[in-house]
Amino acid sequence: MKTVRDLHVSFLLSAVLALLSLCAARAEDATSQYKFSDPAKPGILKIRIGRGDLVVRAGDGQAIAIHSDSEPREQAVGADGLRVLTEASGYSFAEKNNVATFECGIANPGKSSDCQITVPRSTAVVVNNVWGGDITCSGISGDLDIRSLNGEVRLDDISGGALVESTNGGIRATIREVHEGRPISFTSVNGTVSIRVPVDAKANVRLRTQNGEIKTDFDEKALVTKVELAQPYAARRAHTSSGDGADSDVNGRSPEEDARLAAKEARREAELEADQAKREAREAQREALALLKEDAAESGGRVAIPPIPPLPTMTGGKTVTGTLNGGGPEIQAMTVNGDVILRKAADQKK
Amino acid sequence: MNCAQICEHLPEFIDDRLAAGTAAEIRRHLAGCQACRHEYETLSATLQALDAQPEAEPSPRLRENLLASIEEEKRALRAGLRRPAGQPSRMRPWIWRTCLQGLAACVLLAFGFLAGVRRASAPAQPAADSTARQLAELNSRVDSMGRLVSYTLLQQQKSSANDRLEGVLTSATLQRPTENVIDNLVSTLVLDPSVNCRLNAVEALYAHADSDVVRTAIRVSLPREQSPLVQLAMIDFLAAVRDRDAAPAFQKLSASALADPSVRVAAGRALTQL
Repeated sequence: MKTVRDLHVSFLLSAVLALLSLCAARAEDATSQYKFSDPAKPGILKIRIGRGDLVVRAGDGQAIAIHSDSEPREQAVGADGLRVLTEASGYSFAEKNNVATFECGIANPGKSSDCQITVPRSTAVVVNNVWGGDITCSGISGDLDIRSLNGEVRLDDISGGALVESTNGGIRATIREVHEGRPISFTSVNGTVSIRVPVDAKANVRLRTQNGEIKTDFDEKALVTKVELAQPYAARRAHTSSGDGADSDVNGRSPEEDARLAAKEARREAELEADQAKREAREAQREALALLKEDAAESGGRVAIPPIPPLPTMTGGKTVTGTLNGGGPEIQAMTVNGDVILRKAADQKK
Repeated sequence: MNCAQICEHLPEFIDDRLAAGTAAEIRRHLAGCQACRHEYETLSATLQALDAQPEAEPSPRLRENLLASIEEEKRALRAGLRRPAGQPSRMRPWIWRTCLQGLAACVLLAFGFLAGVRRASAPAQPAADSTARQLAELNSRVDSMGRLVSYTLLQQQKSSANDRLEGVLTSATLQRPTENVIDNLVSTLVLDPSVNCRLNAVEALYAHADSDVVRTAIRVSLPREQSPLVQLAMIDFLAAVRDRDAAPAFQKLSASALADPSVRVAAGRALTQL
């Protein structure tokens, strides 16, 4: 015979089960769907995310699907007839004339909200990650413009233009196609920049690092480069001068005199190097333009514009400019602290 | 008497102005000398022909002309300018020349004085004109830069960072860019929110490092630039062109605790190269 206590326990269990089912159902329905005003035309999606990881994938449909830890911010009218404008949690979405704006966690950076967004393939995506989090974009053929303060940026299988600025975090990109008029430019302050391109991709490359190395697995025939190094004489002497605590060198000079002499020599050498660099840059530009004219005359068609001579690295750093498979649209990668790596796309690697 | 003596006395014999004895002797000689007789006959005929000519009558104005000449002589004597007739005057050209010389000297002195004064004051005018021109140019440039800033900000709102970067890269390939293109690059350097665009603007402007406007723009933008990458590019730019006016900015950066360590080191190295 069941007691009253047994009935109460059963009731509570049923209630809990029902509640769990309801939550599960609601989780599955957390994806919100939106559309551009004119789905037939490429749209622009502008994303501002406070803190959290963001994944943007290309989809074959025409809808924008948003899945987030946060809930859509509903500005419902309360009993007092007022709407709360300064709601801290949740995300907001607005769209007008094929320009969509998505904001999540801006007002409350302490709360992390991860977001997964699916967009039409040709959508141009603009991302501003205000506080931190990893950003991943895959399969997009529209232009990408990404700014990240803290976190890794990963671009997979992209085929449009791409501008990425990262302050603390590396950048990894796999490029499916490069197109004329759609430059690719990655900059990072602290982080390695690694780019994979198809083995037959044609591009003008400009790679620079202040305190790192520049590496590639393309051979010298495919990737024709010119390397610019500048290590001031004073720095070289500083590296080679002894650290054994001696007060004077074998010539009887004090370290201070040595430093003054080194600085003087550095100035003279730097002046000569700068003049030489300027002359070479002008000469390279003249030669390149002359070659361009010859090629245009021979081929009768469009010829890639040769790379612009780089700024001389007067105060340190390494710059590599050149052409990949004859040249084409710009691929640039620059970092202060980190390496720059240009590699063949994995599935075409020989 | 011989024949020569006879011929000397013939004019007087013809005029009957000789004594009786001499005349008789000349008759006895002429009777016996044919030569003298021929001379006597020729001379007598000539004198008779001359005597037969009518007498020249003087001009009726002779008297008048003569009297007028006399009166003129008298007047000249009275004026004290008596001079022999036909001789030119020497006093008048000398005085005229002296006066002219003096006048010419005065004119030359005056001209020289005026020329010197004018020359001394001449530099002020070209300098004033030059300053006014420069001010007008600056005003015009400020106006155009103001319009350019507005235009640039408007363009940033309208166009994507990708399009703006493409614009910078295209500008960099122009062999002879117009002033407008360079202004656009400068405004990109100063105003564009994209690090990639600003960095490429610095690279593109390096080809125009000879321009004061470009160097000034780089120098002025360096202290307010936030991105270490763009700062490094600007430092390399100014060091490459040996812009000594950038030394204070380099000094400040090399000592700034807020600057990226790589930027501090680069600024210090750039100082040694200046």
